Amino acid sequence: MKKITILLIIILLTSGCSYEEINKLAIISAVGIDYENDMYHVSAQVMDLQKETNDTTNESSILYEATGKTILEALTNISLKYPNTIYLGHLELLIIGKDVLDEGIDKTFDYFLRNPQARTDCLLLISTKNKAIDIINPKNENNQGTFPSKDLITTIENSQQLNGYIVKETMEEFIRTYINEGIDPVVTNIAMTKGKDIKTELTGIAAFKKNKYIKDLNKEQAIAYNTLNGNYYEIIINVPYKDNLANISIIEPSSKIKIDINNDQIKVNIDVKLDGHIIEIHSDSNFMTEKDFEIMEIEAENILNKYIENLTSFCLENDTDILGLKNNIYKYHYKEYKKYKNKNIYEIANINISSDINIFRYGNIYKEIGGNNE
Amino acid sequence: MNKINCTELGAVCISLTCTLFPLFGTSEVLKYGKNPVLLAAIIGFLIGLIPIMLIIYISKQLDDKDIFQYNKEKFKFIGKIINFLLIITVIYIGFILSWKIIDFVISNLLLKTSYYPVTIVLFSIIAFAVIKGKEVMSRSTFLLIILLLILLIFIYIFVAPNIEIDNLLPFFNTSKNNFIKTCLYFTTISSYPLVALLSLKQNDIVNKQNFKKTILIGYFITFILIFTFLFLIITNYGINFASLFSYPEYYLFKNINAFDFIQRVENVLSTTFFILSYGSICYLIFFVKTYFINLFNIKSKTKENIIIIILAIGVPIISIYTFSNYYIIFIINYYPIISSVILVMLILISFLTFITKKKKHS
Repeated sequence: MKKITILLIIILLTSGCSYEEINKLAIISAVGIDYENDMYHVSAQVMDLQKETNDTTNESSILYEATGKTILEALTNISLKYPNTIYLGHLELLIIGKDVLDEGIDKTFDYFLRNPQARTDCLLLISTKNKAIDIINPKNENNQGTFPSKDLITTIENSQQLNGYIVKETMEEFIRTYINEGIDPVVTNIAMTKGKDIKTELTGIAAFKKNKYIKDLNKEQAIAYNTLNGNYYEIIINVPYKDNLANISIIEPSSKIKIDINNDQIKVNIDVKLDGHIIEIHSDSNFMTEKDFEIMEIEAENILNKYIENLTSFCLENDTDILGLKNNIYKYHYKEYKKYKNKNIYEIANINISSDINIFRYGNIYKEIGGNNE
Repeated sequence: MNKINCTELGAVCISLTCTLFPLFGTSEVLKYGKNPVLLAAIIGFLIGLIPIMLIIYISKQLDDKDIFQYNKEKFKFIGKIINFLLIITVIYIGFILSWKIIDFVISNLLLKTSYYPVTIVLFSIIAFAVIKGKEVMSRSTFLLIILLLILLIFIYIFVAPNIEIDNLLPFFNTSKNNFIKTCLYFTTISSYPLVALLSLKQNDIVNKQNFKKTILIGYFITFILIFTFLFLIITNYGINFASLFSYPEYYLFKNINAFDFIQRVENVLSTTFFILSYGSICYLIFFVKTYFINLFNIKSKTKENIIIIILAIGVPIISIYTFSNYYIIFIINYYPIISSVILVMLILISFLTFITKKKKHS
């Protein structure tokens, strides 16, 4: 009994360590980082707990912002303006503004890696055209009444899975790629687009050369990048078919990049394997035969090869190695790596691309509804 | 009957040989060893068998006395010097161990709490166990090690899906000097703390004839645990990213995400650090306590308890005072050299014992 009493006293006395009431915490779900006049401008999207208690149907958020010479200083300066203690344990999204990219993106991450409270598995986005604060500010006309960070996260997840134009990259994944030998990182780019309404839109994949932003990939290059990295489950490509178009869904990509070095001759073999099925045909075709499938497979393979060629040309022109060919040399031909470390590998290498698409499903109908009934 | 059995002894052996890895060993070996750290682990653990065989050899001489009584009786003045050097080195290991465990708590779990309450709570439990004696220390260590093994199975299962084998490539990407340094680092971290077992008399162990076997099995289990963790850390994160962190195992726990709802369990799993530290700190304190009892010839139980409390609370508090004022890396960098005093002493004791035995026979 005496021991249990002592144990209870210890438990009761130690329960207050680092304790904070939840309504005194500013639970940050998204952080935007901008850089202006040698100062970091940090904007934090915070869950509005008060509003949530009154209105249970909609989640809403408020924006805290402050400036400082470092990110930590800016975050601590938030306490000068707002009563609640900032809490980064639920950080889901980090947006880097355009000015930070000129400074070098890597400096931004030190605080988040060092701080045990912050999550490094939050999604990372950059904006090459806008300030981060404009994108996450819930007071923006197009964001009103919503929770911008949650919407963005859902959009990113769906978009990568459905069209392969963007990449779902966490801060940790970005840093891992950044500090790896012979590979350059990529991240999704976001912008405010002006049409009838101002909208936040994911504009594509931004390629880096180490910590410097280079250029965005176009849609075809983005599909090629995601195919080579197995980043999606299913996306759609258009294939010419009998003077018209067919939509082929390509699923579960798997790829292999093999590099052979013989007498300073670099030979790169890129092999891609995918399954596919027919989604939509815009042609007055009859019942499909084996030959039709074969034609479609060849067309789809040619298109995918063209996309990948397009991507390697992008890497060649911009001297960035987002495919990690040099990383492959580092891993499998370590002794040769020093020779190629500072060279544009795409200039030297002889790249062979081969895709193998196996189309085996065609949906619920055998032929196009306008086709011949015979 | 205040005796410990071989299973409990094996658990203590695992605790002593594993304890320094999660707190600072892993980060150091990853920093220098790079990808061949796994090969270095195998070589390091094999070299570690040398001090372990010396410990086993010496312990065979300790039927009814501990190492300090033995040294004093057999080698007189030299024995006293050996005892003193051993105790200084073990206190140094205790210093680093206690600082690192407190630092881990403060920098990752209780961010706004002062060092002192954490120290007092953590080390009072250890002091309590040491006061209760070696039987309680060993049995509680055994139970905790069982819990540790269950947690480790959970960790291995949920970390395994994130393994990327090609992160192990290139197989050799460090200099030869750093590789050798890493091998020796493994030896110093894994085998030297085991010297604390020399504070036990062989008569206090049930089935003492199995002592050698138990120690070797415990050491082998430690090797498997450490090797698996290094493999998981490198294959999950790649060496460059993994060597950024002070506590790579803790960061590995962050990677656990099972069925999208078992996640953020790193703080729960960090209990493994405390479990490992518990048995080893208990035995290190027991070792130092035994020295002081012999030195001052203390017979009273109260005085003995006071020494334990002073050691258990005093050493970590002094370590906080020291390490929060000086540059910690400076002292930790010298760990392999300073702790090697233990190896020198073990060789000396073994040699002197061998000579004495030979003289006796002739």
